[in-house]
Amino acid sequence: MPHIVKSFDDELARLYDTIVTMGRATRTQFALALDSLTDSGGQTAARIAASDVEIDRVNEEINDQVLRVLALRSPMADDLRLVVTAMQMATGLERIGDYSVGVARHATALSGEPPRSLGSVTRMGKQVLAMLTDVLDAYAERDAGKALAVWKADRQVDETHSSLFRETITYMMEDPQNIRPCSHLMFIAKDIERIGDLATNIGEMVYYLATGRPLDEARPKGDTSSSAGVL
Amino acid sequence: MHAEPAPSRPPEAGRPKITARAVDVFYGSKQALADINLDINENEVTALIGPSGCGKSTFLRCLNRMNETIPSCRVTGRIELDGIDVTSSLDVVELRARVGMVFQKPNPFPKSIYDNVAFGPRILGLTDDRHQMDQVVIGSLKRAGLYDEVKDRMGQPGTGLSGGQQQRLCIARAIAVNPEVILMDEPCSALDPIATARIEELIEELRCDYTIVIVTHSMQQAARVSQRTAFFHLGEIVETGDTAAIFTNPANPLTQGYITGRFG
Ligand SMILES: Nc1ncnc2c1ncn2[C@@H]1O[C@H](COP(=O)(O)OP(=O)(O)OP(=O)(O)O)[C@@H](O)[C@H]1O
Ligand SMILES: [Mg+2]
Repeated sequence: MPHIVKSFDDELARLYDTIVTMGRATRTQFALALDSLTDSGGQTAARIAASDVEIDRVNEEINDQVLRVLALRSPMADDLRLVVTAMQMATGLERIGDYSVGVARHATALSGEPPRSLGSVTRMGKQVLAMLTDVLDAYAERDAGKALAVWKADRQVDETHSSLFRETITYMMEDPQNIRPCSHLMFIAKDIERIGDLATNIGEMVYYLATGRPLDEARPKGDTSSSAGVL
Repeated sequence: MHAEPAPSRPPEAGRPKITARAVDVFYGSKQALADINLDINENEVTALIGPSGCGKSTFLRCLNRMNETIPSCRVTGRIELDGIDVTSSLDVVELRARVGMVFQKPNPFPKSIYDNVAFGPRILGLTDDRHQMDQVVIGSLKRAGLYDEVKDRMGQPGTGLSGGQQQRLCIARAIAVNPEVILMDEPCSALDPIATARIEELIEELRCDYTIVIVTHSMQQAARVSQRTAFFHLGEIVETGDTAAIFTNPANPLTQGYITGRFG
């Protein structure tokens, strides 16, 4: 049902559209970052830097819109949830953009000497890209079920990350020559893993937006790579 | 024969102070409220919200039998104060002393500020001498946050105060008889944001000692001051719940439509 005050509808629709736009830009940004892993030319990195500026600009625009709606409309119920999640989503997407820049930066450092674990990293990147795509679809469709599925998929990414961590350590121990490229690869893997976490957070936001209830089951955690026991 | 042991529970927030069960109200042949069931918890602020004409004031007036002053009005069902039926088992004067009311438009009596506040205690014979009465009047004005503004002109007419001051005078008058419940029907609708904020702050303070029911058309006010909210629509209660839940995730589409300004 539309609002009695029509301009309020317009403002909420605009905010929603801006988030969808920002989501699309962020997804493209991350896809480019993944391309840069296999693209030796290095032009991708320049495109990423440019699109990061655009993502930051849209983030500011969303913050302005949110402040305006909060101050002028005092939104309630599902409107309130839309506005609050918009602000959180923008922050999450902006950070995904930053991590994508990180991926591309380390990829540039790698060019010319692709390490052996690159295949696993590319696979992990595809998993996370699928999560990001799905969670943005979930937002566009306000689909709680889809959001929950993304939230659950994070476990797999964490597992891939753990095994990749062990694999990389093994290569580094085999030959000190591998240490430099493998460290870059580990940074890349960590950035991708963080993007997976952020997509999972966005899944929680979409779930809350759609249902009004927090997704409060214990967060799925399969990643033990940071704990000492793994070595 | 053996008597039921009296349910002696310590006063605690969350205990129902007033319960309404199957309450119907008619004005002549027109039904204004239908099958109202509501618990109003002790030491909580309960907000009644809903579109104009849905019966909020009518319900509020049932709680201290103000509807009896309207000849065409007929109330059925059961309303209990601390488990005692307010219609059959309580004297109306006692009831109104225990359940005070503050109206939308401040309505001080055309008397001095002092006498406005002293009015109730005097009628009810609550004080023995002038000294005690001074204590009650000053104490009530202080609780209502008005004392400092009027202490030098207690003999001047209450009607000479500003709207916000008059409303606080009416609150002082209501609390002077030491009620248990305070009913407020849109108490801030004629006040500016500063005066409104002061009344809201006062409501928050008063909640420690009283049970408060407030009718308001401001969703923000209901959200700010109340712990529980009941949404009325066309003479029925559509939804009751925790205020935070109602304003972030209402269960009923009608509530949702009303509080978000989408009413069809
Ligand atoms: N004294 C009366 N005589 C006849 N009908 C009345 C009387 N008072 C109220 N009503 C009717 O009862 C219904 C409920 O009125 P009430 O005043 O309780 O609504 P309300 O929710 O307080 O509205 P508002 O938000 O405008 O104050 C309305 O249809 C109204 O016309
Ligand atoms: Mg009314």
